[in-house]
Amino acid sequence: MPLSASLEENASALREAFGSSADLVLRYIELATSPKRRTAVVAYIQGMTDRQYMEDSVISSLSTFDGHTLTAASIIEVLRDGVLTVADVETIDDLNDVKRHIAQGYCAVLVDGCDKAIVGDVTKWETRSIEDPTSESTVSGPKEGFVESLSTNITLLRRYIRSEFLRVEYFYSGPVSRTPIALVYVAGIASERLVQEGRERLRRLDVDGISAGLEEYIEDAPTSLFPTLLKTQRPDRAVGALLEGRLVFLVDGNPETLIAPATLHMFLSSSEDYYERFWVGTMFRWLRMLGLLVSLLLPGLYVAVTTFHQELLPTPLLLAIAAQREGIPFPAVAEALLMEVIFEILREAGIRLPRIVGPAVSIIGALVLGEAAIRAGLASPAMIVVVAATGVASFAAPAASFQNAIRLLRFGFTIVAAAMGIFGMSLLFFVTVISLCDTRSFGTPFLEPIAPTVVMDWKDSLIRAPSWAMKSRPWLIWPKEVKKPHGRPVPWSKGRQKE
Amino acid sequence: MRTRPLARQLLIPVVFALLSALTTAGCWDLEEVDEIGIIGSMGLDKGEEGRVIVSLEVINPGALASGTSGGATVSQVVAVVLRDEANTIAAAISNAQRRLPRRLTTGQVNTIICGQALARQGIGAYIDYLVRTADIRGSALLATCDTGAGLLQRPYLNPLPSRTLSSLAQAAIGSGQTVMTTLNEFAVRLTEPGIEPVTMHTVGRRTKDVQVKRQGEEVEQTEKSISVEQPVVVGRSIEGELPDDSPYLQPYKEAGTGELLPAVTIDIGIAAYRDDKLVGLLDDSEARGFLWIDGRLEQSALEVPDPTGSGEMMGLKVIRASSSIKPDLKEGIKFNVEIHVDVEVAQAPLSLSFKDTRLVSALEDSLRDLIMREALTTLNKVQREFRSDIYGFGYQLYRTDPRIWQELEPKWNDEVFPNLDIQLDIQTRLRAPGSVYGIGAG
Repeated sequence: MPLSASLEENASALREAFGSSADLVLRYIELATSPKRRTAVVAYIQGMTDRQYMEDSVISSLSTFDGHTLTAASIIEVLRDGVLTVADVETIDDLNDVKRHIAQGYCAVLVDGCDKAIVGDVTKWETRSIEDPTSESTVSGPKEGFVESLSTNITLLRRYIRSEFLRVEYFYSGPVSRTPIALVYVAGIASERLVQEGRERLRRLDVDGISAGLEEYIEDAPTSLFPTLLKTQRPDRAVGALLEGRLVFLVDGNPETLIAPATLHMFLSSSEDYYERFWVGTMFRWLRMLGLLVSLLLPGLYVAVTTFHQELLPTPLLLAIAAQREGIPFPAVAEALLMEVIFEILREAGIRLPRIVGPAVSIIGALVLGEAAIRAGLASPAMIVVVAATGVASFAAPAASFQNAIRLLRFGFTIVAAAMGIFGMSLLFFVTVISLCDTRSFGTPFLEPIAPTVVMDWKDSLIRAPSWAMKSRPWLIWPKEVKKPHGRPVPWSKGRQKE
Repeated sequence: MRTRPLARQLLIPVVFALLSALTTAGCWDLEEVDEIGIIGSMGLDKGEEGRVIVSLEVINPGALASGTSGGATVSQVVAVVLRDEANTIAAAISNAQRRLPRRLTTGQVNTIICGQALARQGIGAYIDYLVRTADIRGSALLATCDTGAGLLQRPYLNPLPSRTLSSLAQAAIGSGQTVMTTLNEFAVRLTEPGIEPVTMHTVGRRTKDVQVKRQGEEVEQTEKSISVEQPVVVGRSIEGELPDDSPYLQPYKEAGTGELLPAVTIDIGIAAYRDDKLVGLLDDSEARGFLWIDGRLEQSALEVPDPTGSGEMMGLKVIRASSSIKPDLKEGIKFNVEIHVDVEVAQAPLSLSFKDTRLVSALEDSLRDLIMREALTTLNKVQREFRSDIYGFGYQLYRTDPRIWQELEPKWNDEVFPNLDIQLDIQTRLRAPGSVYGIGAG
């Protein structure tokens, strides 16, 4: 819908479009033009704009403007190019465009007799300051985390990659909310095919509004138990992925960015790995893999071994477990599920507890449910140990979304173990692995580099090779140039010693 | 997005299959751990008319872990010995099951003890049962004993008889006077050509409980009783059958009376088999004599006379011993056995100086004589008396020349082995005589 030449029509159209919303401001200014003075309107939304900046660069510029020599045709261009001192301005001639810009926190300048409008970026709103990402904190390494503001987040990325190769593309999702989504990649490293795929998926996005939960719409396996996009709040992590040729999606209002394609090993690695010696980093990875298996299988294994395969246990251990089990009223599986569920409830409740009552509930959880359950003969100490070890191990995987998938699957394993023992567990494990083999993330097999086997990529998955030994980028995400520029550590050479 | 029609089709059936698995909980082999009767060890004895008496040590885990508070512990009996007589072990166990409120499970059997009388009659069929039963561990200790049930007695330094025996077996290897045979090894030796099984042989020694009274207090307070071994003539008890009224034949503890039987300590040796039948026992230095050629000796302490002729005895400690048996088929069938033994001085008269190399070589010579004597004594006994190739000479021949072995196999133990020409080549070395400090001149 084009703008009309009449200011009053335009103003009332705007007022009507926003339903006379209380925070829509229309500021009338008389412009000093000849032959007669003209009225201009500055339209903006309170709270979305920087008041000071508006006054300095728009209101006062327009009020002191002296335009007696101007013609009607050029007034908009003159205002845009010579009067308004806003950094980012453009001229538009569509009313819907104007509305969209105002809704985003721009100010619009409409002049009587002109069917064009100037929009200027004067947005400013309260944002959280940059903090240590609490869900992914590390001991060493940068302490910055993404925040809710998209532009801040992109700045964080830019600070790591200070070249023109970092590309940012904006997409606006939802006819109502118009949330900006940014697709970020490094030109020359990310394959064009992958970038095109990312664009395509964002373009096809058809939702009302989105801030969290973008991954549900753009992932390859929407029904899978496992996440196929990696969420991170750490800029260093996102930058690492960008430099490997991956895509990063940022959504305004959400501090979690999405990395695609994501493979299983990425859920088991952390930025920490790269800030420690590579031996230590490798150990961390193996510990996490072990933790993953423990948290997935331990309760099931305990149930299976104590109810089906007693011969697998060393005699003293079996005797100890049997002694503890005496007098417990439930079968092992009921005991396991009971304690597991209680633990999960505690964990869930613990997240939402107000800080003040937190310690009280922890005490109840630890003492009443642990110690007293044993004394009351409801659970055996061995089971408490199993559940506790499982609970602790489940935190070993750095990605929370992955932890939760494992948490859920653990119940499956416990139930199957009670029905069919280790045989059943093997079956379920088999089914899980097969379904993971079938899962892809933006075209990359989820289990890469294990299945399909890409030995070249083991350097940064099964182990954490020294940084100088990682001479190539991940192979299966179709990177344009596999070779990385550097390749050797720089020791104190003899020649330099002489200098 | 990739469509997965097959997965979609299978989704619901698979979910239902998994859910229905729940309803089968409690299927045939599900057994809660507090509902099983854990058999720790099994004793086999000769019964009437070719039957076997099976004694089962069923462990009561609740009584063992007396420290835990969970569960009501009524009885303090740590183990019950069930005994039943049948033609097969399987039948005996299922008979014994009638009297036990928990399902008997053989998965944790770690010691199997065969009574001598049964072993002399042959235990092949029972070994077959033990190997055939999938959950009995092949690594279970197999031992021969005066009476199989005899060892399921009051244990010492261990809460359970079966534990006592298996840890004793592991520790006693250090005496250099026994072997530790697992069920698997026995089964393998039964089936391999040219080698006969041996097992650990155990014999109980009765002890007497002595009350220790604390002195200097007005009231005589009785400490816990201490078991003191009765003096036993070495080797005396190893052959004889125990009398019927021997406490060894009593169950571990009479239910109800609470009376503890006197402790029994266990002494060990080697039992030699021919096929599945016990043919003889090797005791003390005879057992070591077997191990010199067998090569499985790990540690032992030896005594040789002082080579300078003072008449005192010296102690030597074996730190390494190995042997290899090589058939020599150039003229008839001969065997050369090379034995390497490294020793350390453990105890020496103060006058001896090991700076003298002649002394060292004299010591090595007299050690060689000792080993030669021990090895040959046992070899003679095994060849002439046992007529059973427990060393595996036949096996070495079979590996070297299977055709000759095939000819000799039927008459090997009876005719060939007893008259075999076996040369021993013994090399002894006194290791580091100077670096092992004593207070003597050396």
